[in-house]
Amino acid sequence: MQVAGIRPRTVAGFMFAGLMFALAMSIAAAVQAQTADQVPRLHGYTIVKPLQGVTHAEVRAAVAASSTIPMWDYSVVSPLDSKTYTGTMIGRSPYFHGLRTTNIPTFLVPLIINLPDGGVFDPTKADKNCLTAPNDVASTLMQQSPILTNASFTFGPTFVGDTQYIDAFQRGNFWNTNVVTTGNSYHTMLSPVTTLPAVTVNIPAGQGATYNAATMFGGCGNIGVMDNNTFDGILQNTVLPSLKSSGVGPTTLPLFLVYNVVQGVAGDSIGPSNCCILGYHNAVGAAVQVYGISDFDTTTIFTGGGSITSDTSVMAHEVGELTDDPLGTNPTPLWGNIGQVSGCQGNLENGDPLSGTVLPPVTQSNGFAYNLQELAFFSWFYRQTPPGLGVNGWFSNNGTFTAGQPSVC
Amino acid sequence: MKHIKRIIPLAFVGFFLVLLVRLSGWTDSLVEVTSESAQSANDSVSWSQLGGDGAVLSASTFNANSAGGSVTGTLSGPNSLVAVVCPASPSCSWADSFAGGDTLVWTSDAGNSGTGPLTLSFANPISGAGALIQSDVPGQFTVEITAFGSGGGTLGSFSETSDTNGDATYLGLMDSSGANIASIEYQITACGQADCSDFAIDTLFLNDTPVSASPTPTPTATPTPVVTTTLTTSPAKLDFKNVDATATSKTKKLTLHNKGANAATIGQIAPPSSFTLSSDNCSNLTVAPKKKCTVDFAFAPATAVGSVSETLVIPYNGASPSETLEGNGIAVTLSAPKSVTAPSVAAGSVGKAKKITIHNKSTATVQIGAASLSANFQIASGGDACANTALAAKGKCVVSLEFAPATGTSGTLPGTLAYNFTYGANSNSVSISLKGKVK
Repeated sequence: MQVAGIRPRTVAGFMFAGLMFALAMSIAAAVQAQTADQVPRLHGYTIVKPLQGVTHAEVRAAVAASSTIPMWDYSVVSPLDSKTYTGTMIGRSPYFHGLRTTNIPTFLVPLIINLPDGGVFDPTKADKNCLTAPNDVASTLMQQSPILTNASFTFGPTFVGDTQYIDAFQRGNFWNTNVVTTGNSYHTMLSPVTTLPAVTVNIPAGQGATYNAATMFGGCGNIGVMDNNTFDGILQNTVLPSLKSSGVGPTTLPLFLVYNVVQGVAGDSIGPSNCCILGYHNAVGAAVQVYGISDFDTTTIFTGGGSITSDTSVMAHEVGELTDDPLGTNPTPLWGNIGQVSGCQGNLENGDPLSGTVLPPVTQSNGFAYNLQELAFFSWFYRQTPPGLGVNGWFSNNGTFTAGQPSVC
Repeated sequence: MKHIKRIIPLAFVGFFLVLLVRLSGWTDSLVEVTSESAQSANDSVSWSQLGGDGAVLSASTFNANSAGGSVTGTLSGPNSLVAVVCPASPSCSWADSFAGGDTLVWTSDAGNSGTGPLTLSFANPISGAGALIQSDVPGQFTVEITAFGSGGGTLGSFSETSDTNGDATYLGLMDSSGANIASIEYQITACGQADCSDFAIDTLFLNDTPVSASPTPTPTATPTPVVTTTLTTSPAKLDFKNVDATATSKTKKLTLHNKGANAATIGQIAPPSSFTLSSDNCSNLTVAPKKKCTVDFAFAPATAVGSVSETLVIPYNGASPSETLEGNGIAVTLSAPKSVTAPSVAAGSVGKAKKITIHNKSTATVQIGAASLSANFQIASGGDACANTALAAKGKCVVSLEFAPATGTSGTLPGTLAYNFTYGANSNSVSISLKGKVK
């Protein structure tokens, strides 16, 4: 029998060819394995920009006047040092007698980043290279993600709700206050969620550059790097004011989304001393505008590989942090040498101790399996005596932490 | 004649006082009631008729019925709720000391618009009313009830402070002279935070018919509109001056002095942001008249917040005294020589090491990162005791720098040695200018 396009060969010829093919494949596989082992990875991390120049009394006044998003104050004595720590969180206190849903009006704002070297990063455009149709548009995937759309969340053996991820986290965080007693009453929801038309941001010369993630790091597509201070200045001075007519302001929570764009401090180089901020949250002004920004990564070039920083992992980190530390000023006993923190840190940034740790993927009705970063509970930061306040007696929402960190700083 | 001249003005004053009392509606027949049994009610209003748990009272008024007629509730805005008390119902939104399964009117909170006070107006005047009340905010609270007559005048008001747990507290009143009460108003006047407008009220008990002159009321003889407790603070301001971010200042003592005639029942004192309570001998305690208690505060700015001035709220059964806590949270810097000249050496060679000392003169521990060093300079092998170390407050570290000009270089070559460092959530850097001459 002759197969179209293939000349008839002898059996010996086929055997020789097969042996050579197998040998070639094994060498290729070995080379490929070695290459994969040696792929350089970039250090991805997140930051917080604390509220400055505004007193806590002014924040309280803004909250009381409903001129900012709802926030509540807590006061806790840490068994670690017997000091009293006070702070502010988004939503409503789970310690109150009455439990109810607090809605935080939220805007998802896709940003098209134009870099001065011609690189264009558009989260509203299909990317058939690094994503798979029909789930190939980052902003659509974010809209449909468990961060903005309900999913079923069960932490360990405990069902915490059909809800958004950060609401599920916050319910688990304070499970043993009045949350479990009142069943399905306590929620902190991003609602309503409005996705705005994409806003184009042109990064000035010398402040942004495009790199080939595939050839340089063995990843997918291109990666953009822009200077963090330049970008945040554009956000505060140009983008946020331009969105006022769309309803964006201090009584709402804007979440900015970029696609495969990270930030450097300072500048746009991609070296380890400068790169790569994957996201941050900020609070500005006496009226207290809280906002967050996150990269939707599909390059998979960051430390730890794909899932750890991919798709919605960073947004989960940022929304978790801005919920529990919206002003970036909630003090805690020092903790550190864990997650993305190599030294010591003293704030309630609940994503930082677990940067690099994700939940089992959560698959939504669109078929996309979302990555969500695990977050640390209130009891972990203040070293509360187990079982603490969290669900299952845990100190983080996937059980990585089962007690507060011993004194290490 | 002289006597008549004196009697006429006195009679006039007496007539005027009687007239004033009649016009204002104050009556000594009004008594406070602090238990459901003492109320001896013959009617009630169950709030379950307004809807199930979580039902939104979408307008600022709502109507309910009792056997004796309709009752209209008025709030300051919409979005209050019907709440059901745990744990008797599978659907509940109110935890704690009401009886499980009871249905409440919850006056919402500032974030949801519909706050107290709650006014309950009766289609047919009543002679008494009362209910269990609880503040939404945990901890001790004070509730006040005021009665109004048909003309809108105030008949009197009473206050009651809960136990220190902040359990639901019964408060009502009765008018032994008849059904003169057209409306009552409930409000929380003190709680563990500044905004106390948010509370819940259980079943409303009513005396539809005139009560007898001595029905077994709580023996409170006269209306007591105002608690006369007065706490003062000394000093009026605690200024902690400059404190390094992430460090904690020395403590300062605040004395609370009860200069009133009543015992002062103090709630949990919460220090404002950036301040800590290092010793607390006042919270959740009762201070007798003329007695004092003390609280020690410290300033512990997590970040370089700059100048901070915060008002301290003292929660107790009276108006919070004015007390200000001040401090200045400053950034941490490291001290090092501004410039260093390394020993000269020929191009392609390595010069003698020059030791550079970096001091942490602050009161905070800093975490120093890796060294950033210009070309033609290098750090001697094992000579960097600063990089990637935690430098304690008042500590120092030493780095040995070598000039190593590349082949082909000449003249005097500049450079920089820099370290980034972090402390808490903060970061900063220290930079040293370098110079080396090629022989």
